[in-house]
Amino acid sequence: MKQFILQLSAILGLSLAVGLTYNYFSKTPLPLFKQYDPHMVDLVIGNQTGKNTLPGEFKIPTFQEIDADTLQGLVEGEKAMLLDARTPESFKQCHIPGAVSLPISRFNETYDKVSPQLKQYKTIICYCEGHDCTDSTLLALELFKKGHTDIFVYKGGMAEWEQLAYPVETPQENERREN
Amino acid sequence: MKEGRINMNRKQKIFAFLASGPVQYLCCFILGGLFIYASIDKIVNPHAFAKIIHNYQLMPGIFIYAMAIIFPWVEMIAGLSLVSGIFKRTAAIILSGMLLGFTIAISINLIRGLKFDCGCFSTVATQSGSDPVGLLIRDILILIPGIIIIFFQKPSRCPGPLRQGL
Repeated sequence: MKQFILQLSAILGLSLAVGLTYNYFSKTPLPLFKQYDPHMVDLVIGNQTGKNTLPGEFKIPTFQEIDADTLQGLVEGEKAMLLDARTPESFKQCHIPGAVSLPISRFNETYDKVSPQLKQYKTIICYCEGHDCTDSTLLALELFKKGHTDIFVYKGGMAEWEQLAYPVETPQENERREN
Repeated sequence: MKEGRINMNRKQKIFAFLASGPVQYLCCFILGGLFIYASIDKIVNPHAFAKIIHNYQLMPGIFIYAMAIIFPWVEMIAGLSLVSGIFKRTAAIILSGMLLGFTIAISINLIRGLKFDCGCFSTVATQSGSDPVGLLIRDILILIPGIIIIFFQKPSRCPGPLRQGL
């Protein structure tokens, strides 16, 4: 029995390790513990098979990724518009300085408000929580559908930005600045 | 008395046949090979596999991605383990357990009258969905080599940490 448990653990443990590693290095990784999102899954399947599941005839592009250092440079120089794809609540709690909230869950309601600002910039950068989230890519896709072409995705997201100790905007920071 | 002895001999003969090397190897290759083959498409297309799991309408949404990431690799590694003969009884128990799980899932959807794609060997969606009765029969047939490996294996006479329980 002990031997069976050891062998079972070996097979399942190896499967878990290989599966997670493969997923981590995959071009379109799946988030491990996140509510199933049929929209996101359909988009990725459509992109992989070339059979677009979205209405319209456009081909889903692959968005260029950007690292934290380049992002910092672009934002400081105000050369790009930074969009936060997370929920408004997450945005209020903490976000990258200069970012504007455009939650993917409320894209249609929020886009019109942000649209005039977007027109002032050639480059758009989207981010969300971190490597495991797909909201930034989904936001980039929605923007692409609206006719924007120069779109980048910061895959590291809020998690990497904080880890690298770059400045963040929090309600406390805002209050301090206002005072 | 005489009849009883003949029956015992028959049973022993059947056991010896099912436990014989060629039958065991054949069962390992059939079950292991099928699962290795079945896992490849799921590994390559995890999103499509996640969609298939979702369409079964049996799992909470929060576990679907984790299952789509890990399940195909369990199939692949247990399949390889079975084909290579390493931990083969354990691998057979895992694969038969998974097969039993699929069979239960298919049966539930058959009772509910749901149309769904099995996703057993391919993640490509079909318009009509899979035939659940056909799937059940196929799964039960695939269970047979698993049962033979699990219940009709000769205990290893070779000592040593690796050989034991192979």
